[in-house]
Amino acid sequence: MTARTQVEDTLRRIEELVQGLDRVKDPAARQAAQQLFAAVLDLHGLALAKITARLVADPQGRDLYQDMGADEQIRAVLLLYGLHPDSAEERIRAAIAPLEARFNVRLHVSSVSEGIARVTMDPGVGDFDSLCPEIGRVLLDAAPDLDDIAIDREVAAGVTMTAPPRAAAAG
Amino acid sequence: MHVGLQTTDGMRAVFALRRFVYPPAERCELCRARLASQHSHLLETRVGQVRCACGACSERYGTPEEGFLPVNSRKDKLTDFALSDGQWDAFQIPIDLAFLVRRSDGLVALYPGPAGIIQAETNREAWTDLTEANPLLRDLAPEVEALAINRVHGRRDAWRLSIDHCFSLAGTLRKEWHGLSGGPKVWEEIEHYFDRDEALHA
Repeated sequence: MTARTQVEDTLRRIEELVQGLDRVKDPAARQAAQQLFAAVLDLHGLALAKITARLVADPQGRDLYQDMGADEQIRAVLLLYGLHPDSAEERIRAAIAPLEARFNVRLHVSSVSEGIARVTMDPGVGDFDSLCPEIGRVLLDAAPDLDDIAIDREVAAGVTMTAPPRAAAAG
Repeated sequence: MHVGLQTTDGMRAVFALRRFVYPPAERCELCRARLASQHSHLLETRVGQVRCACGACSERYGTPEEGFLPVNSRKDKLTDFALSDGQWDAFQIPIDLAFLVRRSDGLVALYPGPAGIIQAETNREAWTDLTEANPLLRDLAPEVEALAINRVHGRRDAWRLSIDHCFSLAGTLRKEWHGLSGGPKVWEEIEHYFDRDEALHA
């Protein structure tokens, strides 16, 4: 078994287990699981934050930290703890150009704040509503530490239609 | 538009786990702004769904032309309500808990059940008779308010419920339903829902 498969298997397993916890009806049991996770993540997160702080204090360490963000397994952990060397906005912006080429659309990052990335799309000849889910998935994959992605439609150059009700209904 | 909450395979676990451990604040379902625990609701008439909304979107989109109607949350017990068994039978409603809603094109009965809400047209003459006996029914806001009748376990209660309360109650019933008849727990939950006073948040 390659390391890559192991990472993927582990991530898939975690996802299934979280889905299982989401289905638990007993609020006390859910809350206990949530609190246990939060405590463990706090413990690890503080230790990892100290490690990264030491790394970035040193020029060589800074390069090392940056490189580690590219390793799939380390990337998953850094994203989980909110410690990825690139900010969510940088990762979203980096994901834009390949998406524009792949789907033949124009994308503009309006803002990344309060846990949400807002992106404006000019779909060109494509269909806005059918492009949105795929583009949203790729963007959230780049920044799973956000809690939402909103894609607004550019109706004319520089004019954005924010949250057209019909689009909200489809979402 | 809000694009749903799925990522590609790789980082879905990270997203799911973070969401479980740190549940995000609710967002406006129209513009995705973060919401306070007390916020407005809009009924999206085309799909019959209640959407959580921020004040600005409520103001901007809460009109029939935009396809949304403002929902003013309320849960009022109608203490002097007159509904005889004969009047109830005239509606030909097959279960003990139902919501009656006035619409522009008539009157519908909503039946909450294990598969969600089933909607059926019901007897308009029976409604006219009932309105004569209970003039306050004329005040029910079309589409967004219901006359809720609870005859579970021998009760004979009538409520004026906003549609968000109806959907929330239907959700409780669906979640707690077990077996063919629902099981004892579900009916306890329904009674508890009607008995408690606190406001509905979501």
